[in-house]
Amino acid sequence: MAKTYQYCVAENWGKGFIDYEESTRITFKSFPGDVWQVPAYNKHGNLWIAKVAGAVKTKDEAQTIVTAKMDAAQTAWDNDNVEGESSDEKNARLGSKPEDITLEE
Amino acid sequence: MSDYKTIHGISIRDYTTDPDTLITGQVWFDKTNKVLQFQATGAGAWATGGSLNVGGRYGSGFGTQTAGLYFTGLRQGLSGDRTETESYNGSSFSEVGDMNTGRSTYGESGVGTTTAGACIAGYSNPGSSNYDNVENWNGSGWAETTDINTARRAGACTGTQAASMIFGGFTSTQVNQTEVWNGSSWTEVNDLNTTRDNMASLGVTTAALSNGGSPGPTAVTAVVESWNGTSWTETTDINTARNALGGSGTATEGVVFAGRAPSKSGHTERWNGTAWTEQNNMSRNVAYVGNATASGTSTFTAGADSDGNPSAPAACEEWNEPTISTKTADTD
Repeated sequence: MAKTYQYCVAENWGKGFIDYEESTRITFKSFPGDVWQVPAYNKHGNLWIAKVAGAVKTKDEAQTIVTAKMDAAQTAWDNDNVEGESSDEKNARLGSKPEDITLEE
Repeated sequence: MSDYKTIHGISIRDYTTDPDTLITGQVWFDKTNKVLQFQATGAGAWATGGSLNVGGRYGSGFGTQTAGLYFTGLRQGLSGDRTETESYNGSSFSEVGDMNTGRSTYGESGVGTTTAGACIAGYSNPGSSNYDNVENWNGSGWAETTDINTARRAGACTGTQAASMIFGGFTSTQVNQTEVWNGSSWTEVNDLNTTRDNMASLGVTTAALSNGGSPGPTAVTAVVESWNGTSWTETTDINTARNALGGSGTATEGVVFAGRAPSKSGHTERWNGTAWTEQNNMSRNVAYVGNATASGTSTFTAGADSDGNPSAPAACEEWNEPTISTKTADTD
């Protein structure tokens, strides 16, 4: 099956990392670990990855990075407790527990 | 096979230069470059902006994408509600004067501009109490001013420092109270029809919109209500029900973005005064996006609540309105 997305790792440097023209041409999605998803087999996606010097990853490699970050976030959430705090109060303070993220092919 | 003339009743003209007066939808053949071109309205889109110095979550803001402020909330690596304030100039953030009372605001509690703004209400986190405090920003520092009548968090605010309003929010449950500030006192006015918290606001105190939100602990709504300066009436729903979304613009032209439905997203919709249209989404899936610009759609959103790690990100995105431009078939 042909893949729909390609992945890379690139650090968002701020202004100009994704510009307006790029954003109108392709759909970007960011994930923990500086993982970025752009359309596969797409000229504009390839040009953007080159611009940001992204390290191209397979979907499985990208998933490993994201999962490690989410595991760390979930552990941090589990361990962040305040004496006498209810679960509602914890949710208000920290937000709901981070959920697993599954990348698409 | 049908050709263009069969479908549209006219042939495609060719030009050696672009036509003088272009109309949206117009198609022509560029003889010089040998390409088919057309005039189209593109959707709006987000671009990355400068990053916060310290990542933020549950914070708020006001101003435009070339002159804005980000404040309140939790900050990455720092404990408790923070008072730190960062100013945005369109390319980078810099630290400016701290607030007097740190708080988490869970969304749009900021109104005004970088020379005259305000932060309205909020929540002590931890501490579990709601604030009625209001602080004014004068361009260089914060000062306490008159409290609202009903302490709350997760309400929506809009307007200016001299004329603002707060509606909905959470006390010990979702509320529908609306209060209006006239520059000297807060006055209770007519309630929202749909009780809720964590909605997005658009507009000013004479014409505003309340968009989406949570009518109950786990519920989300797509309901939009319009404020005419006196009372709320239902108008066209947003396309995707969600809470903890952001909004920017006026009651006749604006955008709402991000939020939880219940998963976090970067979903963006644009309001033209009549209908909501889907736009290009943010690159991040976030909720509790704080910044709102009541005067127009030149907005930015920094920080926010992310499922990722860090949960208080430093990233910032800037909204760009749809533009009418010439496109080249096959390459654009």
